[in-house]
Amino acid sequence: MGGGLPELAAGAVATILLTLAAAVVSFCVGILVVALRLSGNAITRALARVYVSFMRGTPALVQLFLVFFGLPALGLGGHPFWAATAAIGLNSAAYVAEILRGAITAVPTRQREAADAIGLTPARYWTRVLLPQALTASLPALTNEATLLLKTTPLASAVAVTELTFSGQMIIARTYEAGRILALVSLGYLLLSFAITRASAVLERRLTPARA
Amino acid sequence: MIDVSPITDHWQDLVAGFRLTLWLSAMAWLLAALIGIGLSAVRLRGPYSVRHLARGFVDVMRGLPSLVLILACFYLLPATGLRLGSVPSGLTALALYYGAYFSEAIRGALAALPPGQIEAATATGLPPATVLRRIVLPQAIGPMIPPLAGLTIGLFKETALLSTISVHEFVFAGKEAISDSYAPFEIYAFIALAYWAASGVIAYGAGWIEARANRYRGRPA
Repeated sequence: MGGGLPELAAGAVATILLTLAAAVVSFCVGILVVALRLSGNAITRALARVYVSFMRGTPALVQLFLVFFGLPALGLGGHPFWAATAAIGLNSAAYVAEILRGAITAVPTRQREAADAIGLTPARYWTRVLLPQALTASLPALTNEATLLLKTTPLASAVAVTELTFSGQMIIARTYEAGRILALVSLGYLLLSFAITRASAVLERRLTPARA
Repeated sequence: MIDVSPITDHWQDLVAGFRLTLWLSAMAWLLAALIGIGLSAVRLRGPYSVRHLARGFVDVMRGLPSLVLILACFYLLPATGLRLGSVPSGLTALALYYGAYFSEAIRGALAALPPGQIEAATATGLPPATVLRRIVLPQAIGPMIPPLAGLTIGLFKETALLSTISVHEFVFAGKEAISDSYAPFEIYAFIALAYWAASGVIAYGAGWIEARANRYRGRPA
């Protein structure tokens, strides 16, 4: 009986790091993609559309393999953790871009006109007017996306990143205690997704008065 | 440029894998739809305690990664005495997981209906089955389609995870082709394109069904 807890804890730490790193990629690339998607240039708009369609139309596992086997071909080292970070982040970015597109198009166009009238540059208009409103409005949807991202991280086990699921699988292979280990792994994910929703609720409370 | 021989050399196996992927998606979808309908019925009309049980089940499914659920069904179902192969284990996991999500989509569309309509229909003496068939469903089907379409594409894509429990579906066939040819990028690129095309077909079909379901509203919604 017993054992495995330190390994699972190390796996949970790796899952948290992977989730955070991929969330940063997802957020930054998501904003970039939505900016391209809503830009005046027809070619960048088409590129952003194809990106979103591909990421939403193909399995994340296949995307991970493409990144994992494709990066070395581009001369970039294929470290499993960074390949998983890139793949999971790029996948989630497509969903973030769609969430933000909805929130951005909901901002009335007269704000754009007002920003032009007082001489704001387009970049300033995005960072000071559009994004603060769009991000606050889409916080619940972004939280949901963050929990979905967390639930995508076990895919990293397919390229041998020792995150929570993979460390669980290794213990099961050694001890055959599948029931106990999988219960602990599941509990880990439930706690982490609960933590994300709690953090988002706190963030939402802090952001709301700023709009009043 | 890109050499297509790794794909053409394993064409038969890849096609067989893709067909199994389609079959798994269809079966898991049917089972998930049954579970989803059952769960939403229980959550809207069931006894209080059962409602809470159903809600708890849905919450757990939504908090767990599908891969963990697949592993749980794969390792734990045989321990209960059920001698299941990897295909039934995988189907069970996907059906439970997507059944929970389906129930949320169905419940959302049903709950969005103004309660006054059901009350009015009941007051005019329509039996409950007729209320469901003539009042509730015609209006609820349309709004249900977009979330269900997204979930259907999600389910179709997640069958790829069954490759980790050695189900010989599309990605597994790809892995075998790679171990033979060592051309991972070409083969995964081909696999991705095939999934992409099939997801496009699902999205197109869903759009068509949605347009038909909303036709009674007079103009395209």
